[in-house]
Amino acid sequence: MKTDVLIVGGGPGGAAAAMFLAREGIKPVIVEAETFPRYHIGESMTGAGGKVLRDLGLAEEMYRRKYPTKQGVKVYGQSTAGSWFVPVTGRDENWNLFEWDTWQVRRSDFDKMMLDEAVSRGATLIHGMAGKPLLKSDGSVGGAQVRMADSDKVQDIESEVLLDCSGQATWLANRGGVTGPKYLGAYDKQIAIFSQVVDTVRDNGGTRETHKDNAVIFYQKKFHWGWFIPLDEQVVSVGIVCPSAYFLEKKESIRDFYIRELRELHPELSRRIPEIKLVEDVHVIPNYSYQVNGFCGKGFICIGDAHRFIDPIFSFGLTVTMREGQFVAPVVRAYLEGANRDKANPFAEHQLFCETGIDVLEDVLDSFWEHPLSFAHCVYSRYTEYMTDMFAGRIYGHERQPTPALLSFRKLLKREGERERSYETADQYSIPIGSRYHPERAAIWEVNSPVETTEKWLGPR
Amino acid sequence: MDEPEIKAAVKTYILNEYLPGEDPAALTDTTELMTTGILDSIAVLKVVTFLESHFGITLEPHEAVVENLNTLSAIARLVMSKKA
Repeated sequence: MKTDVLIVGGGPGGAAAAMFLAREGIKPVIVEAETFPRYHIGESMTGAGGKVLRDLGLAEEMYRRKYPTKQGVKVYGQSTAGSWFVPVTGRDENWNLFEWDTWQVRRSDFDKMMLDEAVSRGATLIHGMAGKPLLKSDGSVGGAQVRMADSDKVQDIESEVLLDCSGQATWLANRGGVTGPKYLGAYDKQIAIFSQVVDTVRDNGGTRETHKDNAVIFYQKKFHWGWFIPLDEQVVSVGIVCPSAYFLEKKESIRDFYIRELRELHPELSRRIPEIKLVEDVHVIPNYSYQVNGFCGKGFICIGDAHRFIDPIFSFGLTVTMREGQFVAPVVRAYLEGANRDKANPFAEHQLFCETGIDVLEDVLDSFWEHPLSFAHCVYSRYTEYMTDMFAGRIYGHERQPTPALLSFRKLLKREGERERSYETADQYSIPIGSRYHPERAAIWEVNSPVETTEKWLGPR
Repeated sequence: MDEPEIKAAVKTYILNEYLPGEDPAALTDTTELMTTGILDSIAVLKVVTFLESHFGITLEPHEAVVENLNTLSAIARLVMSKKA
């Protein structure tokens, strides 16, 4: 079987890419191993994430399906009296800020809606599991072997471009040798434990800040926090994030740990859940922070979580993956029409563009964790407007980054100085988070380092 | 405005806002405001807002750090450097 574009993974990144490709006149093949609907985490979008759905003409459908609208995020600090609110905003064509809303979604429903919509707009869905990538004699990716779900037979699907939208499975990076190495991220020692609860106490409404469907964050102490994200009138996604060491120390079952944390993490969280009633299993994701270098190359592009994830606290995951699905469509079309065919990495420019954007997020997240006071000062008073841009996920070069707020964070993080940005150096542009933030890990990033990966450098743990 | 005047103004503000009824002598130039928990982070931000409006200065985020705000002396040095 042959196709111009093969998409591995039918989540929102793959579905969004398929729909934007359809607009470019390209009808891709999507391979998805699971049968939708299925549970998935990553439920809250930022303003820029909502804009992707609006650009796809799906806003009306989102309202019709009554996905909770998010007016902003409320963050409670250590003292219960102290909180701050960041409204969801958009920017018009003259870059004037306006009040907006975005959505929070039950991923089982939302992902199915997106995938069905991609198929109705021309994508072909194949139910099967991607195995090995097909490699051409010049080392480029020319498709994938797929084990078909109905027949259990392996079939080759050849492609001009393969989009890895496999999420945290990082399908292509885990095959080794095709992408650059996968590094641990700065927050690799964290663990997230989450479920869904009912019969909660929501805010009363009346103002944007007290809107009943807003996302709420509870900060207990550094690296220890919780989320409260309404998914419909009844159900709320609630998660606890903490250092893995703290979880292990407690010697509790995952469920017992989760329930105790709901009671103890923060008075504002326990107040919202007077009686704990779970309507979903308790799920766990450890070591979620990583980065894949060289995530684009001849015949392939990795999207969203398939190449990088930093930290879930400000809900950037779904937004970044859908935005990359949007950005990739014209790039793929140009390539299919003959652009950059002779280049060692035909998608270097796209890679650099994406990497530079996520580096902005990383600086924002690192500033939040390492310099909470300065961060709050920016949000509260100094750079309120620029901060709403970053919280909205407007992080790319054409979105007026770096802003003065970001430059100030870089000063604080001692990450000043321009790194070289060029086509040739695209694969070395973003220094992996682990090494960037922990200078002792920098050896791993040096060219010709004898250590291949952060995992190896760290040794047995 | 010199350093003693700055210290006095900030001291008055903190005593009135966060330590009502406290003996003024208990708040010295070197009393640690943040690291001892006299002021939580939200209170410190309000102190920053006060400094900006009262002294007509603007603090950059990299200046709003514990080292610059932990004592009356540190605050006075910060304000002086911004006014210089």
